[in-house]
Amino acid sequence: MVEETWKVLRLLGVDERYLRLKWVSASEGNVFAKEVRDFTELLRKLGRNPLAESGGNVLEPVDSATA
Amino acid sequence: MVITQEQIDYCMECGVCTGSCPISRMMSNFSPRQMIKRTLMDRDETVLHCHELWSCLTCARCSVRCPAAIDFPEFVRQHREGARKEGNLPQLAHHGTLQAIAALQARNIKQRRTEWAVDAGRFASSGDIFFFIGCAPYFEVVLKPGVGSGEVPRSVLKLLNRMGIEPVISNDERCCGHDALWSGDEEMFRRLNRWNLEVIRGSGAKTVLFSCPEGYTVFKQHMPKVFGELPFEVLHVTEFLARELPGAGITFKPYQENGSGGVTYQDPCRLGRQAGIFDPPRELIGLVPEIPFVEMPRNRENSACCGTTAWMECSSCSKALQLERLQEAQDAGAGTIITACPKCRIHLTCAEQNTEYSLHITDIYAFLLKQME
Ligand code: SF4
Ligand code: SF4
Repeated sequence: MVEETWKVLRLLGVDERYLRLKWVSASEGNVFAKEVRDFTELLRKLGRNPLAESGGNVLEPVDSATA
Repeated sequence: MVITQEQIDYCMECGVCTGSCPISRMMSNFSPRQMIKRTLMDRDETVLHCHELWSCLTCARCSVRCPAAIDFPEFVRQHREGARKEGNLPQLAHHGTLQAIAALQARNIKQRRTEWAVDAGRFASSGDIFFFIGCAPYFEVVLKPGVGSGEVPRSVLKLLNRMGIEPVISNDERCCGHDALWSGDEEMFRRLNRWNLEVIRGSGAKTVLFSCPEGYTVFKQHMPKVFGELPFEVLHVTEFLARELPGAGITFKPYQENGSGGVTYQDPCRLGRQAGIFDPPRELIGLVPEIPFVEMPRNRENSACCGTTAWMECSSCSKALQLERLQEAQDAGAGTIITACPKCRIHLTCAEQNTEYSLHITDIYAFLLKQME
C-alpha cells in the first residue's frame, strides 16, 4: 500500500519523502527517536505539504503561458 | 432537464426501462419507472435518500428504448446532486482512492503523469493533435496488476507514432471529471475542465483525441453545455483511426487463430449508446485479414454494461453482470474480447481473475498494434 502511495505522490508531483515507512522494534527506543527526529527535520526542510495547504491551493483558470 | 406532463402520462403506462435494465433484473426493488413516478407524480422526496439512486449504472440501456424520450441517466445524475447535499452518498470502490486522486488534481500541483511516455514513444509539447491520456497512469498504480490499465495510452502513442504523428501530451492535463459529474459533483467537473481547456488551448491543438470514452463524452457532450462551443475538434481515437488508418500505408498481419477462438467486441456504454460510435471500432477490427469476428447476441445499442461506473457500487450485482458477459462471449465462440474503453477492459479482466474463464481481454489499440506489420 505504501509503495503504491509513493507512486501516486510521484504522479501528483509531490515529493515522495513526505511519506516514510520504517520498521522499528519496540526494544529500539533510540532508533525510533532518531528516526522521528530525522523525519521531523526533513519535513521542516521540505516545508508544508503542498496538498494540504489551505488557501490558494484550489485550481483556478491558468494563464496558458504557464500551463 | 424538464419532463413534460405528456411524457409523464405516457411513462405511467409504460415500463420499458425497468424491463430493459440490467440492475432491475438483479435487484427486484430497483425500478427506473418507479423512481420517476415517485419523484414526479407522488412528489416523494425520499427518492433523494434512497440508495437505488446510486445503483443505476447510467448505462443508457433504458433511455435509448424509452418511447417518451426520457433521459433516465440524466435524471439520475441530477438527483445525485441533490442526494449528495442530503448526505446520501455512494459506496466507493477501491476505498475511495480514485475519487481522492481526482480531487487532488483540482489542486495547484505539478504532475508527472506523462513519465510512462518517455519509453513508449515520441510526443510533443505543442502541435495540431493533442492526445488526452486520461487517468490511466493513476489506474496503473492503484489497481491490481494485470488489468492492463497502462497499456491503453502506451498503445495509442505507439500507433500514432507509426502513422507519423507525434501528438501533444501534457503533465498539466487533469482528470476529465467524468466520474465527479456522474456522481453528482458538477462543481468538481467544472473546476477540472476550466483548467483542461486552458491547457489544450495553450498547446495550439486543433484536434483532441481521447482513448477513453468517458473523457470523450465529457468533452463532446457535457463541456459545450457549460463552456460553449470548444475551439477544437473532439474525436475518439477509434473515429480518428477509422478515418486515417486505411490511407496511412500500414498493413496488418493475418490473424493467427490457432484454436484461440473468435474475436468479439464489447461496446462501451459511453462510446456506443451515449455517443453513437458503433462502426469505427468494428471497421478497425475488420482491417485485420482473416479475423474470425463474431458478435455477441447483445451488441451495439443492446450491448451490456461492464458492471460498474465511476468507481462506485461495485457489488455482487456487478460481478454477476460481468460473468454473464464473459459467458455470453464464450457462447458466441469468442476467445478474445476487444473493448474500446480502459474501464471495460479493467472490469472484465478483474471479473475473470479467479474464475474458470480463460478469455483474452484486451483493448482495440493493443490489439491493432500487435497485428501491425
Ligand atoms: S421507458 Fe421511458 S416512458 Fe417507459 S417507463 Fe421508462 S422512463 Fe417511462
Ligand atoms: S441507465 Fe442502465 S442501470 Fe440505470 S436504470 Fe437505465 S438501464 Fe438501468
